[in-house]
Amino acid sequence: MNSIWQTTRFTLLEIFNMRAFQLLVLIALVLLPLAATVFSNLFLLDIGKVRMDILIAGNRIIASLYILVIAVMLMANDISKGMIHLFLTPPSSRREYLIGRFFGLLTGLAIILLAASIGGEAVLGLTFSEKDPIYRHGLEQGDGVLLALFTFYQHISILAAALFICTWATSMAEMFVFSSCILMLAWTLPPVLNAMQTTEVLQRTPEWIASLLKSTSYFLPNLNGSEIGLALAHGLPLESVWPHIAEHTGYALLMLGLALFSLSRRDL
Amino acid sequence: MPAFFSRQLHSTLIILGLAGYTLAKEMPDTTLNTKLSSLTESGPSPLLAQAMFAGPAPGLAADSNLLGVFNVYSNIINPSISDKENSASWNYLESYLRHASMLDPYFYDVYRLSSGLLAFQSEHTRDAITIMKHGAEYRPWDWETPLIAGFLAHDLLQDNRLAFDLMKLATSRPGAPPLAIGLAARFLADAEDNKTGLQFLHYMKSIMPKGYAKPIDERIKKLEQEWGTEP
Repeated sequence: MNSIWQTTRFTLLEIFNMRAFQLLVLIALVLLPLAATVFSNLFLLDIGKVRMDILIAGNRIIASLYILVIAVMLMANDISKGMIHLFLTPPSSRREYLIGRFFGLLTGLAIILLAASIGGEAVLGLTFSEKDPIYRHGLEQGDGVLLALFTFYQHISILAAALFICTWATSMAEMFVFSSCILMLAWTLPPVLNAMQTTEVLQRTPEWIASLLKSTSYFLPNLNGSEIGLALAHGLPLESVWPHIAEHTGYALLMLGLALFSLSRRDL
Repeated sequence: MPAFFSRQLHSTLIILGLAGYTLAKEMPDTTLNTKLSSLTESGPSPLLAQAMFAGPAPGLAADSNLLGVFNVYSNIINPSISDKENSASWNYLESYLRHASMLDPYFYDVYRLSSGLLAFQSEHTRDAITIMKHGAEYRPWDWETPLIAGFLAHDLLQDNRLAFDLMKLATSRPGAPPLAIGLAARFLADAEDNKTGLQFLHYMKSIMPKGYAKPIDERIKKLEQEWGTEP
């Protein structure tokens, strides 16, 4: 247990010293809210909604970049360059190393999204102070925190999947490419599957492509959750959150289990 | 290479680069204008491609479609464009609005622009009403969109059956004004007959809150005098 805590602490110290991490925090805290405030003024009435849209997209991109640029690179450095041996001195085991890394990276993600939630709340506060209710229908103070929480839980599963990839991929390039593919598929596949629910699209799509897409979707967490994003942007009641949370938690546990199994058998 | 350049290579590169960049920036860039113009003229990307690219943020894709509407409209109001270009631009404007409403059906600006811009282009009035009807189905708190769409269907399309359906949808929304009930009855009477219009008013009186009873009664009385029909 002590080794896990030490690895978590060390991971956090490493992350804090990374320029990429500091830049992502700066973007989440300052640049994203600024972009949301400036670009939303191009619109007519739904200015609050446009600001939330920019925050939603920004939070997702920042969280995805964190996984690719920080988490994957850190793991690649450990495994490809042999830095992992520094952590695996007795009594520390491979299992404790991986769990410690996972919690450290998760805490780093939480810190970035905490910065994003502060930035988001500042944008909402500004919207409430300068805009009449007609410009911010349904939005409430606190939606920025909800958005950050929503982004956080959706990326736990992706982080676990990236760790799993890092435990068996042979080089930094492989780890980066495969993790990017997982992110890209998780980003783009749900809208395609949604579109395929409609009869018109279903009739035009060959059966084997439909089956292939459906079976691929089983291997990925539903990162999309676009209906939750739309509900947040318009202040509508959130209805389908619990199935999403259950799905992401289950997927994260599965990937973490596979990562532990894969690392325990890997020739380091 | 002269000794000066080899010693000061980085400074030389920076100065040359800055000079070239500044000069290029000051020159009129016709390439950029051509590119932007062709981008506007090509209309929106396919809806599925937009949804895939936007992934978990379809709202932002809808926002970008709305910016496309502003772009196309600035082209439309340009007096120098030909009729063919004008017609193509209206088609693109309709596509941008339709895509925005499919990507984010709760986005009010889309319906505001559909009723304010697109509906008054005779070839696209029905498209505008279809977009507004789609939005009204997703926005159960909104009585304005179906009310305006209903009025446009009556006034611009002379389709009183559609106007009645939309007005009836508006009356079912919280906070809808009694005006919507009166208009719905009138459109139904035009589409069917006076008796059906009055029956609708009596029905609405029975299901609406008591605060609405007085204006509905006044409307029934007025129409009975006008039409001379008893329900």
